[in-house]
Amino acid sequence: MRFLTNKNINSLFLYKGAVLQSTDDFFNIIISPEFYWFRIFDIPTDSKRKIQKLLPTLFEDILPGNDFEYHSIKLQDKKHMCFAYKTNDILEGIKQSGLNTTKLNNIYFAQTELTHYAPFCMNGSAYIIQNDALIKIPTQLSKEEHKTLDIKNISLSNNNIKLNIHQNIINTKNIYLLSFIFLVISIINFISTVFINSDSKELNVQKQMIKKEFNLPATSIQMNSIINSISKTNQEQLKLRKALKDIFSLYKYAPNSKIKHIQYNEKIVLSIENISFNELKTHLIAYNIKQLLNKDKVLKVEISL
Amino acid sequence: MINKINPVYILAFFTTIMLISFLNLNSAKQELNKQIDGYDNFKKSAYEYSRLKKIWQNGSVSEKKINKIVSKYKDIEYKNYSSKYVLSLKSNDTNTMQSFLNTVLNDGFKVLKFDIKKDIIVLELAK
Repeated sequence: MRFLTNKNINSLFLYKGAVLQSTDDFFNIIISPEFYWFRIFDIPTDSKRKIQKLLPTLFEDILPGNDFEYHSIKLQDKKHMCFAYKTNDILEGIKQSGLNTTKLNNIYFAQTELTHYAPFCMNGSAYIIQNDALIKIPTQLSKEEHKTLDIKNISLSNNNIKLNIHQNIINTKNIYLLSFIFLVISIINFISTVFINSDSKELNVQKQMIKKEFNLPATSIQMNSIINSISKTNQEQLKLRKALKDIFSLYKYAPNSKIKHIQYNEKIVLSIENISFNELKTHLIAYNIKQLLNKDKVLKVEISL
Repeated sequence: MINKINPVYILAFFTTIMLISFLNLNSAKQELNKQIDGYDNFKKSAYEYSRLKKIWQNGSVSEKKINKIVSKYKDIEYKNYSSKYVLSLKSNDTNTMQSFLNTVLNDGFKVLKFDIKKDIIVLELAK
């Protein structure tokens, strides 16, 4: 909780076998030296990343086993206060103490927070400084009587660690990596969506330009209705022209035939000389022809288009 | 605070965001495809509309063309009614008659009626 200061948060001291009172408020934990390994190293770099890479090697000779995490605090010159700890051990210690990890704020090392109070006595153990390190010893081994430290009254430094309190099947690092990838994909998708929407708008603009260019009616319905109407006219008129062309071409097949009269009013009425109805029908096979009159060699027929 | 949130929730949050982004993208793509289809149809219709309008012209274009035809022939009568033109050409020359008929029929007039005899052609054309 960044908006909470340490003053508002309880400080608790965690040692192995501790039984602490569960609280509804957030709490900071100062871990006893049992939970970490501490060394001061001369490291010729200030880069936290480089130091993090070096620490496993530097601690190699003193650590039992693997799976340690490391933390360093720069002191002076090239000196760095270095810690190795196991998250699981600390979390286990917190759970066994009866505290709820969801209310855990920060974890502090006793080395950074309590050294200047040493030597002191707490929970039946004595804490003394030996070779710059705060160590825990049974009170019986202590040569002198030490004052008891009241942890609630101490003010904490800014040197703390964050524990991964959530034990998931997938590694937290991988979860953040996956989340980042998903975020990037989402951003790409949203950008693509914006471009696609802009393409859609562009199509509308082009539609308006075509409307203007061709002087089209306001709506597509009006336009389609006009197209249908003109198409109908188009078909009728093309049929009429084709029929006329066929009628005027009759002389090619019946050279003696002679057109006397052609009328058109929805249907064509043709008066033609020197041609029989059957002959005419043969040549104008595509049309529906009805004989109206056949008198004095003049054949009068009605041609439906 | 971020330390208190289970990273799985963060992953779930970004997974949801990603799913929403895919849904949005998909819906935008579908809309664009619809728009493209609509645009293609619209373009086709627009060209068809323009083509048909050019063939079957009306209004001032028709009147200009009628006047041009009328000016070409001597014995032609031209009447301008509210909804139609009536042209009647008298001639004994078959070529003149044929040329007149071809001109009118090829010029994109809507023929309402006609009456063609050896020496006279009467045409009623829509406005």
